[in-house]
Amino acid sequence: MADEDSEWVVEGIAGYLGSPEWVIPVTDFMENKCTVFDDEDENKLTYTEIHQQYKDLVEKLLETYMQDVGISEQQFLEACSSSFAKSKTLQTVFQPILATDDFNMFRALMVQKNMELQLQALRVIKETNGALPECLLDGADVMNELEKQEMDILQEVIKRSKEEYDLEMAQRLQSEQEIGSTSRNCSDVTVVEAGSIQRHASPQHISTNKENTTSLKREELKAVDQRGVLMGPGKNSSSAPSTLPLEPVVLPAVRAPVKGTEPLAVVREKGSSNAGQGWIEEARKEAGISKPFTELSTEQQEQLQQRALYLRQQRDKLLALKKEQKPKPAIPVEPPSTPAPTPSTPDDGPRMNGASSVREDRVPAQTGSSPVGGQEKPKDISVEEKKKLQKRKHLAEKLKEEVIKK
Amino acid sequence: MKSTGHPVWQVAGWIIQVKSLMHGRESQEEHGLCREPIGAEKRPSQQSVLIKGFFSVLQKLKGTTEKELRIVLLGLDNAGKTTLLKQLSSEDVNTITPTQGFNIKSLTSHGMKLNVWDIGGQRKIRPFWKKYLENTDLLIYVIDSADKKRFEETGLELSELIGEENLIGVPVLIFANKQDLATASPASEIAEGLNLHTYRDRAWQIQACSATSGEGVQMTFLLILITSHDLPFTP
Repeated sequence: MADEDSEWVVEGIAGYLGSPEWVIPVTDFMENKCTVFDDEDENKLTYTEIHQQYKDLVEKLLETYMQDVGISEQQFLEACSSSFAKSKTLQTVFQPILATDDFNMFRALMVQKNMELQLQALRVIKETNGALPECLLDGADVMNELEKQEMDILQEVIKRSKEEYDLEMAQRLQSEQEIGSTSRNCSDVTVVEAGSIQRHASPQHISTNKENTTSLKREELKAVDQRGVLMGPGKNSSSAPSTLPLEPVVLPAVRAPVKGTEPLAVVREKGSSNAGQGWIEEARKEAGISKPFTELSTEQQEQLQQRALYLRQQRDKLLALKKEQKPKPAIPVEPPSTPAPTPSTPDDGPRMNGASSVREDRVPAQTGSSPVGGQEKPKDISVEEKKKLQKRKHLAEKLKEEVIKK
Repeated sequence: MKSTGHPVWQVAGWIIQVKSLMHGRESQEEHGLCREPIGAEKRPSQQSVLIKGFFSVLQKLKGTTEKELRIVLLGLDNAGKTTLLKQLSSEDVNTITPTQGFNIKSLTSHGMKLNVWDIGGQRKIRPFWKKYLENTDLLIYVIDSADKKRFEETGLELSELIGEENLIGVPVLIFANKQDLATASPASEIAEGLNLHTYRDRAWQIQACSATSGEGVQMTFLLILITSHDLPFTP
């Protein structure tokens, strides 16, 4: 008799804990108060206050429930002690009540609730805006890494462009001194430049220049020719982006490398503006701007420089892409070679065939592409090929075995 | 009982005895209502008993056959409460900052679960102390033995705690901390300064220690201390 009674009481309480009369106020409370609960090791004093409020709420709810149902406290306690010990499933149901007596449990519940709400909010933002604003993207670490990568790339770009700029400056200087100028503008510039170098440049720099001259003279001439060719269409079509990456020589990054640490710094201070102008002059021509660089508005000058920088970046990106692509062809070869899915049922047969045929298609395509690419290593591929063939044979054997066995 | 068990078990038995005594009294039930916000409707104390009974049953449900003790760690700011707590739970004691709120650690020792509450000691937090005293089984009061200027202040705080209704009869363990410092006063001197010998209603003990080095703060040692002491407490 007593057992039946208590069972009824227990079921009643469990039912009550699932009913809106209980769930709504309790979840309301949690959702309202959980925002201050974070994952910190130390607890805030407000936690205790909220815990106290929670205790009061639960006591009040239980009290009203017992009054409504008309359970005496005696029945209530008996019920608890009898059946509860038997059913473990009820324990989770009673967790919200246990939390009144166990601060750590209460805290865990609240922290969890807070997390859930935050995730929900993020989802809502994502749905309404399509994407999360940057400030909400989790993981400052990731962002920092990206930024760092970007900075590294940028520095590399600046370094390289400076090297190239130095080299070409030297080449140009020498070639123009010896060959004579092709354009008045440039010759003027170089005369000034030469003068300044003689006055200010370190002897080291000049000697390297001289060493370079003879070997570089011809290349420089060629380069000048090419530039002349390129300049033709470039003038009319105002900076078609497709042609831009072809002219990385265009001396952009004029400003960027002008940092005082280099031995050239002294020269630069006087010479860079002049020399840089010479180069920008050309960039200007290519961009189809008619006025000489010095006469351009600062805005246009900036534009030119930006364009130059952009070109360099584009080129480097392309280079990086190519670099990435080179090792890539090896990767798609590998996945099919792993014999992970070995289908045994006849239903899978056709699909398998299809897959293998695709693979076969890919193989000639690859070997075919190697002469075109020129850079591909045929040896590697043949090794790869052999491996693949072997693995395919293995696969075929396995398939055979399985099919035959069945 | 004394002859059979490990000293620690005696402690447990003794403390539980104290607890049951406390909870059996009428006044204690009244205290149960103290946690309600001021101005809240007073409900019959029976309800409180019922809820408590309910919890005790639920506690059995959790499968915790072990005894649970609630220990509250108090003292002035910079006394070393959090360091002591971390030392007791074998955590790193080198990265401790002033506690703005409170810390809780559950330690298991000799089949007992010790829930240790460490509440910040800054002056502005001290008014909140009394909210954490209910159902306390042991008060640990930490003193910076080298901070002579504040001996009076810490003594006042302690005597105020001793007068708290929720702590009536609750044993006190005083840690004379920072004994590693050359300027630290010896524990006996501090005991005298605090007039500990006048405590007649509870067990007390003072223990010299260094929370940073861990000297004198082993939990077992701590529990033995309480029992081995000639208890002035008579129920």
